[in-house]
Amino acid sequence: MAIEKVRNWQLGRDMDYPYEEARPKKQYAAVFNINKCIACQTCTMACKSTWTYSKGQEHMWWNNVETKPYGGYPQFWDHKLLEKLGPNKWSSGTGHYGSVYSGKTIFEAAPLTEVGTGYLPEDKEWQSPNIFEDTPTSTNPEKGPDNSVDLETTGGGGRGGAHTTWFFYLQRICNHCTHPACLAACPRKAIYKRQDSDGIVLIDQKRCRGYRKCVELCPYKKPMYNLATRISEKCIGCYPRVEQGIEARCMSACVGKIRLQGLKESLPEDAEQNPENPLNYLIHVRKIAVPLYPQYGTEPNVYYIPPRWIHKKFLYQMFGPGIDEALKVYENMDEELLGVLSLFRTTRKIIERFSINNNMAVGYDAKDHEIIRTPIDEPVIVRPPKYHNTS
Amino acid sequence: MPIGKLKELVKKQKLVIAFIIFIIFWPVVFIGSAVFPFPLQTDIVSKQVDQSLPIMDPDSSLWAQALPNEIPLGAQTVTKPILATPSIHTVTVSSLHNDSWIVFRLEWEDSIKDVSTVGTEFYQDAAALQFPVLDETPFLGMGEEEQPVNIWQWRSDWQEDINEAYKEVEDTYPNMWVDFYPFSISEPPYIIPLLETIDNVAVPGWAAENPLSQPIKVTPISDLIAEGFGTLTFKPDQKVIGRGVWENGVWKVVYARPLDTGDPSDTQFTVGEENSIAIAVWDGDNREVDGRKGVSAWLTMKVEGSSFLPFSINIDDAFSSLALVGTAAVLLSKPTRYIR
Repeated sequence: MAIEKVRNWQLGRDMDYPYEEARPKKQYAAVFNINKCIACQTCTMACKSTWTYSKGQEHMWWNNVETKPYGGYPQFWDHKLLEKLGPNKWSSGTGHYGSVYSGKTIFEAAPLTEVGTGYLPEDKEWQSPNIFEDTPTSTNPEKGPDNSVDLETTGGGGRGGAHTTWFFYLQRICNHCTHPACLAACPRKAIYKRQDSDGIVLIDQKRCRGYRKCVELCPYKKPMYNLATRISEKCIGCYPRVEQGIEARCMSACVGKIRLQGLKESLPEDAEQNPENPLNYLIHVRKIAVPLYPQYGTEPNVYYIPPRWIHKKFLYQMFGPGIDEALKVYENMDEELLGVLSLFRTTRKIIERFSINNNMAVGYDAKDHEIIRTPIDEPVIVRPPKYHNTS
Repeated sequence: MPIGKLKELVKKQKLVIAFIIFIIFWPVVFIGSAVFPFPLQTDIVSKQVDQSLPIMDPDSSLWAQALPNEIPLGAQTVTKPILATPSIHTVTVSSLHNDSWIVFRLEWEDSIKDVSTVGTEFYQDAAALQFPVLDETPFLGMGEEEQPVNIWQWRSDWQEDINEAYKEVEDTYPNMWVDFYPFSISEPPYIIPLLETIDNVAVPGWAAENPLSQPIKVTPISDLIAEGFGTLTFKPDQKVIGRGVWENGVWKVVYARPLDTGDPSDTQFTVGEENSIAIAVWDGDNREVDGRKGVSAWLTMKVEGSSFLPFSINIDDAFSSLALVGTAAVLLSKPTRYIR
């Protein structure tokens, strides 16, 4: 298999990949605001009750919310790969986040016999999706758990800082990567990325032969083996909904209003030409949301507003060098940004364009019809005391 | 040059002429495989018998009439993923035919019987035969574009489904508990509660008509076609039957099919003619699947016809012998002084 050079803007450089660069016209993408998640798992159940309730899918959670740093589904999925890849090395450069990744991606670290580096989890590792729920850790283990705030390791500066005892929730779905490892791994070419429409990555259920190479090589472990059909399945990005301009189930079910999903431009320079698209705006223009483990090299397309109370070293390892800018922007919000964040979960329709004026955030669909109008600062009305006894 | 002088020269230069004969014939042996339209060596002979073939019985006494041949297997190293050390190193192949059907038997040692694929880390044992569909023998690795290969793959998990019953999650995890499967109850074919209709809508691979996900198996052998890596596809009509048995650390698998199916996308076998054949074996507990397998080179096989000769002629050996005999004849003829 030939090795091609493809551009990975998240790494700020080209990288090895088994296929030529093939970016979709539009890319399915989402922004998850970790700061607001309460791990109610409504997203998880919305997905489960839509797609994975059948025989052979008992262990499947295409959407899951895990408690970091110890939680993981499958267990220790990220720790295991981080150990294989070694330290996360970035050097200063002209990349999107002002840095260039100088380490190896999963494709570049591949053994001679494989397309990439990865591992195949055992069944037992999928069996406790919410293991270590709410289990905190301490960045100061000698001192033990406490409630102090370490101002020197502050996340973004300004308000508060990193907690010395901490955990946070990480919401995970398939990243519908630009350079998918599952697709690269499949010896049958049974996995495809929808290039002409939304960039959603799918496993052809008719061609899959259950080799599980996708399960092994996906760094996010989102392809899963169906024990009844004996072939692999993965998050389908709720493509039947997306085709109708409706957000995925896990997005539209989000109680905490932490999620926004839509279609964005694949490359930053194209995204900057269309800044009225809320995803282009958040990810590329304001850089408030950063990819999960960009160093793996698949150019994942779910972006996270990083949690403010976590030690920067940990965030750096998990989200790469974009965290500084993301936290800075998040903690110094302006009306426009607040307006876009106010659109999260106000409609289940995909917002293709937004506008902000007169304290109102307005969302438009693909036909540029207004689909939502919401106040940015909701008026506060205090009921005068003389009405307290009335209902 | 006058003929008389030539004769004299021949007499004087016997050693030189012997050498010329030798170097003329030896390249013929080597180049022969590329030049001649027929293979030079027959590795597997399908012996003819005049009775019903043991199409489902790898232990039939009829197999004593076959000519078993032990074939070495090596790693597939052309396309990734590669397993440099497959665990099965040899497979013994036998074949019989009776003018209408042909059977093959593969035998190999495998101390662990892997028959379940109901678990993320569980892989099945398997073995396959590969034949060119057209006259030319294409690239060994699953054929080439417009030069397809016909592959018959036997799988141990399918065999187990047929021997016992379709293996479900409960077979791997007997203590599992699920409250409710809204669209699939009972055993396959599933019934949708309330509607009381049978449907596979909630079993994606099955609904997509992937034979791997079809719970009701008819044969443990898939009849497949391929035109290169990654193109393996089920044929619309499955014509190969057979059976595999594991006993005392040995798998024995029988494959059976009519010699001629009349389908141009199948490999056809003609009595008295030769075909190419390649063999692959997978060991489940070594996580052998896809291109990670033990694989043979292209071999030649002959569907032996009725013959007055008790043996078949090996063309390769015939040429070698001719070269040596010719050389020896020249040297052993009337002694001559070579050095003056």
